[in-house]
Amino acid sequence: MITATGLCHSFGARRVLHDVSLAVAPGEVFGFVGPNGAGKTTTIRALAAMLVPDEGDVEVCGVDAVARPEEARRLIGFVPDSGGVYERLSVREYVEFHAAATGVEPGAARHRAVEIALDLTGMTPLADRMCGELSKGIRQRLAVARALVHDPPVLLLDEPANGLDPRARIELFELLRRLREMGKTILLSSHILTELASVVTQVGIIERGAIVACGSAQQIANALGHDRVVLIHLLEPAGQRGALLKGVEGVAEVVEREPRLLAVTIQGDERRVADVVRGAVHIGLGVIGVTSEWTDLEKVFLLATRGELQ
Amino acid sequence: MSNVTRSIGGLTRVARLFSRMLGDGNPVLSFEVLSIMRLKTVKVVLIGLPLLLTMLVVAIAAASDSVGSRSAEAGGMILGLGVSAALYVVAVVGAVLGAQAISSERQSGTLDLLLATGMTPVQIVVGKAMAVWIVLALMLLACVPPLGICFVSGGVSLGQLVAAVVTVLVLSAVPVSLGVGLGAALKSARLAVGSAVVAVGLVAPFVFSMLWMATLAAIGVDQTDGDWPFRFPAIVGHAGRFLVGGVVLPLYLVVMPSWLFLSMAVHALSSVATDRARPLRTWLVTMGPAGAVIAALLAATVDLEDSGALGVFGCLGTVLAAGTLALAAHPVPRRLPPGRAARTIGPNGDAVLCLVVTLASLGLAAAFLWPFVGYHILLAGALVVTFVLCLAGSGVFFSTLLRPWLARLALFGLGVLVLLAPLVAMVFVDALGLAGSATGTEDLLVNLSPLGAYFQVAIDAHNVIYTTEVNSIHSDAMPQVSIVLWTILGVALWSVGAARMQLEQEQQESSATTAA
Repeated sequence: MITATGLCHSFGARRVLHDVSLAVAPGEVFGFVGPNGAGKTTTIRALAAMLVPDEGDVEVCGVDAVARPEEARRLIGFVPDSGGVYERLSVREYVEFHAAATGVEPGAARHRAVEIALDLTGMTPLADRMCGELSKGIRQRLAVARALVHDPPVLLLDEPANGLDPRARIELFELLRRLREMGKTILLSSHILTELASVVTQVGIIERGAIVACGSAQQIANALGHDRVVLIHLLEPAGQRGALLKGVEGVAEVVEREPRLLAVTIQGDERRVADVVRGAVHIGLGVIGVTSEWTDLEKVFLLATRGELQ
Repeated sequence: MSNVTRSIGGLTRVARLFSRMLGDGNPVLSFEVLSIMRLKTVKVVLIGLPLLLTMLVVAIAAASDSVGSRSAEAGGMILGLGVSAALYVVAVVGAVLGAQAISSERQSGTLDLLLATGMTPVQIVVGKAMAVWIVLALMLLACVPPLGICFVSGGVSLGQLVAAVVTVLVLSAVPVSLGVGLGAALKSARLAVGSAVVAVGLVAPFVFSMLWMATLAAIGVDQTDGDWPFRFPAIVGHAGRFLVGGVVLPLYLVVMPSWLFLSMAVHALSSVATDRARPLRTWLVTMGPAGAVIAALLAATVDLEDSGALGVFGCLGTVLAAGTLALAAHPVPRRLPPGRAARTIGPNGDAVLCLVVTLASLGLAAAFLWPFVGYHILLAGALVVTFVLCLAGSGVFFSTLLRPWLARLALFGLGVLVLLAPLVAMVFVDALGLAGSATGTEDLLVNLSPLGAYFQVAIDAHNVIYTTEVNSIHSDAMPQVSIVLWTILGVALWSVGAARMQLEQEQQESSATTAA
């Protein structure tokens, strides 16, 4: 659905993208994270056909975004990190304008498209309000309504939660979950990793203009070669039997964090986790649940990036 | 029958294309009109301008009564002053609205969103300019009732009144385009609006009064003394030359600058759409030759006896100014792209090539149509190329010696020096007491500057057209001296700079290889 291959770009003498490649399959929600100045916005602008990279190719739904930018743009709903509104138009007029500009047929079809976009984003009650009177959170919702009005298969959102209050942020991520259920392919960047983790199916981490990790949070943790910590919740305290788990292949450490909670550090993939659970049951522990600490996107991010100033 | 059907089908397709450009196919137009009409300033002008004109008309009528003027004279005066005032207000308002149209989008962050919809820069620029123009048309429509008093007062026909209002509307396309061009090219909305107001507010009274006096002459209200360079033949008096003087020349004077300014806006928006700086030279390279063809075609239809030659020279002057700007803005980069020979010179090479193509196309078109004028045009073209070549060579030379900002400054300084050379020369002539003592010394010094020689050639061409003194064409050899001298200097600077650049690059590559 979205494919970027070997993107390189410089602003003057400063090289901002180094051979960036990524692929987002249909229906995926791809979280694009990285420190400030890592090249997220530049990459997203290249994907949105709003920047011609020095090198590399971008394809959106099979359309070459470098060679045919206008065609590619009509397949994309783009929400940039700092977009304004036409203050002298009402909310409905503003969305209508974008429907017309993106080529939605006039008449009933356009009217329906506008109503659906407003309804989906919860903007219908504010449809006759002038854009200049809206708060930042509502403007952000309006930006999503604008991006959705021509029913694009792909959505590119650059820091959509930036500057929003907690309620507006929660509502925005709820909206993204609904869009994911509708089958939209979404690529979004955000600094709010806890909320991003609840929406995304894949993550790409960029640092200093290069992709340093790509895949699910767990896959990235595995690829980075870090031990995973599995938390085993027990029916009753493990006592001395917990230490027996050290005998299972791949187990590096067993710590009793609470009387009924064991933290087992494992070197290896999911098969080792299965081995540990089997081992726990075998030695007579009453296992009532298993969770993994490494699904935390923030920890994955910290692992993958060096935190150098850029 | 089939031919008729095909023709009608073709016309329908053209009409559909036109409506797509301006109507539903271009939503920028309708929404921009809506947005502009909600501006308080526009509402004030829509009400205030007719009120102002009513007051002016009443004042003129009262004044003409008190001095016992004939009502016919009063009618002419009302039309002349009233429409001039309307033109001035509409020009300034048009420039401001035009400048705001794109610069405010850039400032509020909506320009990216607009481009992300898939609309092309051409659609956006045309939509914005047309929207402002439609609002100006509404303003002028509101001015018709007070101006209609001149028709009641007598001495002016309804046709003349309509022609005057339509002319104002046509002329207002220039400030609108200038505003849109500035708004797209400048990053700050305030700077764009300020520049547009200064450009139109200060220049309009001079330029438009000239055009307007000519227009008054054209519609039969003769207020010209007959010596204006852009003298329109009277539409009423010279019915047979209506097409030449009444339509083609205004088109030339309106279409050419509007087209240049709007193409500048499209160029600037294309840079935003791709997030890639497209220097002015790209605009020049893409628009220069096309502009030259349009200019040559329009100039070919203009009656030479009136203003054709000066019109063509005006176009050359525009190209000269654009080329100078392009070169001053882009001296050669300190380091050439790898794999590119230093002698190709990059941006400046493109700009010079474009200028040569532009001038050659103009010169050849003119030489084919009018041999005598063509000679002068080719001579003037050669001077322009010489001037640009000299600046380009200096750009290459300075780039190898100085930091980029210093190179720009030096290039700008040299450009100003060359432009002001006639003045400097005259100061020396006065200081050395040469004035009047040596025949031709002043001419020689003035002609040694490409720009001085350029104007001499323009004046010569004008004289040749009016006095038909064909033999005097070859009497003045000074422009050729200037061409030779400045070309040698330009080529020398270019060669030295290119050689230094090549050497520097080779040294860098060699040290990089050693380090590797």
